[in-house]
Amino acid sequence: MSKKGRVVGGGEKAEDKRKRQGAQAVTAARGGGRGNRGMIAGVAIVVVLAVVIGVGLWLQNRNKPGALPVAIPVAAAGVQYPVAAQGDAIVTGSPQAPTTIDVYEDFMCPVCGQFEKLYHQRLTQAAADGKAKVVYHPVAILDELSVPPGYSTLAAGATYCATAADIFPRFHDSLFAAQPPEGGHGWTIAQLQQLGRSLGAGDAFTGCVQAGAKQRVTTATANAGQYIRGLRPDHRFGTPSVVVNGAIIDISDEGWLDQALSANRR
Amino acid sequence: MARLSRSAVDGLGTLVRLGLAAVFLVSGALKAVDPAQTRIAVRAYELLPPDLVGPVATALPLVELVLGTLLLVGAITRWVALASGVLLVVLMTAVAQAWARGLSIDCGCFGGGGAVAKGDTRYPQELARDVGTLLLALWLVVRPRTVLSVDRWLRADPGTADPGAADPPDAPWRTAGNPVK
Repeated sequence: MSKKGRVVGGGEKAEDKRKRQGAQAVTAARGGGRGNRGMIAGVAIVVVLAVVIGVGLWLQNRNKPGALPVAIPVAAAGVQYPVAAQGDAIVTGSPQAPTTIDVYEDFMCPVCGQFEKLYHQRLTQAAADGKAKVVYHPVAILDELSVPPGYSTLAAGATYCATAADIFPRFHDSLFAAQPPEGGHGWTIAQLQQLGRSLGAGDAFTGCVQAGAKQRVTTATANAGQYIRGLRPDHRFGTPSVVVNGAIIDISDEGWLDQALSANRR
Repeated sequence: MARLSRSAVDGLGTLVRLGLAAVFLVSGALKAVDPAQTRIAVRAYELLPPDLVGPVATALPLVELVLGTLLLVGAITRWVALASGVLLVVLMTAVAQAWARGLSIDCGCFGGGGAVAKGDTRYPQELARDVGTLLLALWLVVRPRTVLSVDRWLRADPGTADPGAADPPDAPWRTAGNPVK
């Protein structure tokens, strides 16, 4: 501690130093304890900092289990469009639509959340207007990002159940609108079941979510990965991946959706 | 005369120190109470690999609270001010790169943060505020003398080593003093 103290006084003028040294010499001669204050200050500061860090950590962890609300907020109903399960995909919009847009999403993936924020409305509108067949492929590649791990698989599986229960659109939208943060707590089975019930699903849905669909999601993810890797020049698979009429799309080019929807007018 | 004005400057420096302390304590506390939001804010800069977002979001508020506390009590002021300045420069760099890359984010400097609409960014204001805070830190780096501080209390320690002096000239006094005790 005395080392730190020495450093601090570095800005002082030499003249003051000499005066103080004189004074110190007097007190020292009287028997003042050397460095007592340094010791006291050092201990006090260490204790105070420990308390500050402790309180800071407590503040950060206090809300962890409840960092997400108790119930998943239910997303508002949007435009109406047909929904049908097809293998491991969920087909929305008319099968006869001139454009097919395949969307590969992981419910834990932040960029997918951003993608949904940016394009969800127009995608559903296109599906509703019959301009596009929008096919959702729930995949699970980010199981490690949630606490406990596995939310990606759980949510993807629950989406199959939601499709069977005829509540896919709002179930899907709710999960993206209230996406758990990376490294945060994922929604639990009970919360997903509750969301389904809020949307009018019955016991079949509840049982379906309880059973899970780990094998199905794993297979679907593997198939999707193989497909996307084959389409991409760099042979990588990430989410979100978007395929328009069989061609992989660079969604960082913001005009991709306009191009996809206008292409069919020609 | 010189003495008087110096104590006045000490007083001003104390205000600077307490002001800087308040900035860090408030920003650290606001971040600490909403860890999920802080993680979003850190991630929004798109600078860190995903594995580092969590640790940085956890550590940043703690670092701010520690700096704020040390400034509040006035301990090792110069070094804490220097560390504060470095932190501020790092944060300003992060904000500036977000601006330059055209990201639409709130800096999350005092809680909040994350993506915002294109027209809702406030980069100039955020940077101006950081520059102001940086000036406070620089003052204390250049002139760490303040009143009501642990540093001053230590300097006034009757028996301690002269904080500013090199060891050798000091040593005789100490050895002379100690045997008495």
